[in-house]
Amino acid sequence: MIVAEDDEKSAKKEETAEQEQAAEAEERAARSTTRQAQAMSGLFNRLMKSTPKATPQGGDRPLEFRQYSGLAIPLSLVIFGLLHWALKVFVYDGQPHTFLFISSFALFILAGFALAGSLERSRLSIALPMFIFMVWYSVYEGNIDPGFLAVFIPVAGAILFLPLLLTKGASAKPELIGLLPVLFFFLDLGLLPWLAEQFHWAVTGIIESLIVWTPWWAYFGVFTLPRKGWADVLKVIGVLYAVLLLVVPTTDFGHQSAQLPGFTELSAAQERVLQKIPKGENKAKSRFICLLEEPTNVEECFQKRQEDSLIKDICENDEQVDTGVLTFTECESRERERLQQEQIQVQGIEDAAIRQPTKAEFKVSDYFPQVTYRRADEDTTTTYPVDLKMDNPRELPLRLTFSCHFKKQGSDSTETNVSGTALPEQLTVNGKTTRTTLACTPDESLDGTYTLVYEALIIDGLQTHSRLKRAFIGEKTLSWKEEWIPKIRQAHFPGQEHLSKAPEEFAHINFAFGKTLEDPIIEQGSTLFLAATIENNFPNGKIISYDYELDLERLSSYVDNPACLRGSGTAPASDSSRAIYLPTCILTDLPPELGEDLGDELYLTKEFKATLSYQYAVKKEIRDVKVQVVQS
Amino acid sequence: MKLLPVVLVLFLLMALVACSSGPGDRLLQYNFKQGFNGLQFRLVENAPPQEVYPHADFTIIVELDNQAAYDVRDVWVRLLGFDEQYFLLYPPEQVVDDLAGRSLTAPGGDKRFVEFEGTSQELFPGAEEYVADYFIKVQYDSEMEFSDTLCVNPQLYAVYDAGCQVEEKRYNGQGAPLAITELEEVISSGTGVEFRLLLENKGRGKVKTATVGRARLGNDPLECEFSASGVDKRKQVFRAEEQEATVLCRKAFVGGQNSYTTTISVEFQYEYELVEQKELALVK
Repeated sequence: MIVAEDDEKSAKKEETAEQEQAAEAEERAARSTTRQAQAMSGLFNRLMKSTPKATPQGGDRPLEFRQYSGLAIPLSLVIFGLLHWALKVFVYDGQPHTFLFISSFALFILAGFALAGSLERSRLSIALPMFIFMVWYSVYEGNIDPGFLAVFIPVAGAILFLPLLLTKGASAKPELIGLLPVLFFFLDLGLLPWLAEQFHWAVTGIIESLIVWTPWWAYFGVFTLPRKGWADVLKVIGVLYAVLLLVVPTTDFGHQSAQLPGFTELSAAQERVLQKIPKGENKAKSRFICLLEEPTNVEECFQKRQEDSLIKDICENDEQVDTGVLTFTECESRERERLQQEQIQVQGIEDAAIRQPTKAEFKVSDYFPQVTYRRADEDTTTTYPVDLKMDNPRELPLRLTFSCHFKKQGSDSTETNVSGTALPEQLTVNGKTTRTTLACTPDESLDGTYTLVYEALIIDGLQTHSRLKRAFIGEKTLSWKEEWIPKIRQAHFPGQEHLSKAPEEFAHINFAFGKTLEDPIIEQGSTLFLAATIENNFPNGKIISYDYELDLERLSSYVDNPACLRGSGTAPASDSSRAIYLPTCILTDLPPELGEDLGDELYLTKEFKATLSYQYAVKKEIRDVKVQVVQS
Repeated sequence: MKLLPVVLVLFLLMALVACSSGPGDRLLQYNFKQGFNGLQFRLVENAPPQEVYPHADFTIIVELDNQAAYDVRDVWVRLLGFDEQYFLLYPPEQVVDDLAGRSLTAPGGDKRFVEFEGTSQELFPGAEEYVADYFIKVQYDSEMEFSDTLCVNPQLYAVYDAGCQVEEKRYNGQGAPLAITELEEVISSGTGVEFRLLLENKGRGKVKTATVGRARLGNDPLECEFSASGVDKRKQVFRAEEQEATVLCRKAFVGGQNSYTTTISVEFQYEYELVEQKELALVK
């Protein structure tokens, strides 16, 4: 009996233990399921939303947004952004370079991370629009064809809409914010210089500061730093820098529309504009020093410091000073006089009616021998070909000569040159389009890394015409002028039509005359002022010599200084990118047909032509041409 | 039953009378001297064509259509703003014969066509096109007559005068772009009455000058002048931005008159100008 009771008890114990085990197993399974569900939910939340909420049941720690420490990435962006800017402005001198493009792209990716961390948003929400835009811009080259957009936009929309749907609209803001790095990417590549060229902004003041002295990625990094004491100080410094830099007069804006530019176009525009902007002291630094030294006279102090630094920079790099033709002091006097002349700004715009300008372009083919090898005991030389494409729509009889040489930078910053022989040496162009291959052979064996410089000198036949419109109203009553001058301005001189126009060729003349250079309405009895400048359009080229003629027809008899209408000269060798100021003159009267003969009712418009005949040198530099010597 | 034919005949007569008044009769009743229409002009289609090629002849034809109720005289048509380097026009201005206004004899108004012959020149070297903006300016002299029936009450405070009521009036034009739009009557008890007429330009162009002509109140002459004019009070020079003026007409009372209804009529002569901007393209 006792044994049976014991057996029963042990059986019951076993049953209880089994039940307990089963219950435990169930509990474990339930906990595991809950954990898995929480993990999935947490993962989803991490991808789509901001910091997810803690799970309602206890046990597991709430998921935290740990991807970004909030400091490392933005700080890297600041430091590398500053380095990138310094390289761009001081080392590469504004010229486009593959390395700069790659570093800008890397900073672009970093900026996405920094932005996500700063705003505590998910990477995906911010990265999506960045990715879609870059695919459209780089893979599809910014295609705006309606047929293509009809497919691309719905697909892109669906991709962007999906997170919106899943997060119930919470990802809308991050997706929009994701376009900020795209904007900064374009700004760094050269969006502002491109806009300045397209809309003919006068590149002075605020525009110059934004183009030259603004480290865009560093700024982006500063404002994505987390809220810590020293990071806030950096932000304040950033704001102060912007205030000191940008407190300058604004410029007038142009009106033309433009198409979407590619990377190359942006970089080229940046290079061209940076070449034209004279280097001087950092404006923020000038302003800061003046605030300390002359707090009651900041503006005048600032202007003087800028002028002095500009002149110093020009004369330090002046060829005539280097060769001893001019002393430094003489150069300074010459530049001060030139700056005074530059107060007479003669502006011009591109002639939109001339859609095919004369131009020349060097193109490096894919088969260019960028890297070659030779044995040490051999004196073999490689021939380096490059294509020259010449557009000559007006079929001018052009004659060109070619030359080339190889530049090598030594370890002690000295430069050595190896001359080359270019073939053909000369070329005559008559047709509308000419393509030819130029070959450069070094005159001696090369060893190392060189920059190959091709130069095409157009020595004969090159001409560019400019035109300027004016309205002659004769002698009219005040009420006629009050009524008709606004009408004439609106009809004949909308936007910048009062400026002279020229095609975007190698160089051109800007000219203007009137009561003021900007006023296109010519009245009987006014004294008229005439001024003209020759401008070089391309930083990779230079004007060698020029002849100019301003055809004012019957007005030519009324100028006090005939030298302002025609003359010739050679361009200053020191700075080929600056304008050449031609003599000015005064017109004291008008011929009767442009004056009193117009009576009480009539007015007429007239276009005047200026012709620049010049010799021009076009240069092409091909960097990193390597010849490696192999020991036999 | 006997009356039925009579009624039928009467009904038919009435119907005949009512329905028989055709356009001619309506025209007889129509008052052309209302509204603000004036001389209008437009370019005849394809004259000039939208685009002209270098060294080509072309014609610019301006159609003038007088929709005012008055004749227009000394009509000048001018083409302004062409650059002779691109377009030669001969002559650049022409004078046109008078155009009759709308009336019973010419209900549609008078029309004229003015032709300008032109030749295009060469484009600027390298240019693909040149777009010339120009103005067509039409200038003319015309007249306008304002008349209305109104009440004159010399005795403002008469209690037992059961005559007419003086009221301020508004008008919808007299068939010309220059129009009297309001009339206000100001009575100085025992002295006289002053009529203040608001003269406004309601057309698309600009009025240059206006002169007050003959003015009568009933059979008596009325002295009218502009409220803000120069030496000659009967002539007003209008500025481009101010195209209205007030005309003051005064009449003295002959003692002890009661209120009465009479007609007022004032004639105006004016110079008017219409300007329109056009463009002509010279293409390669």
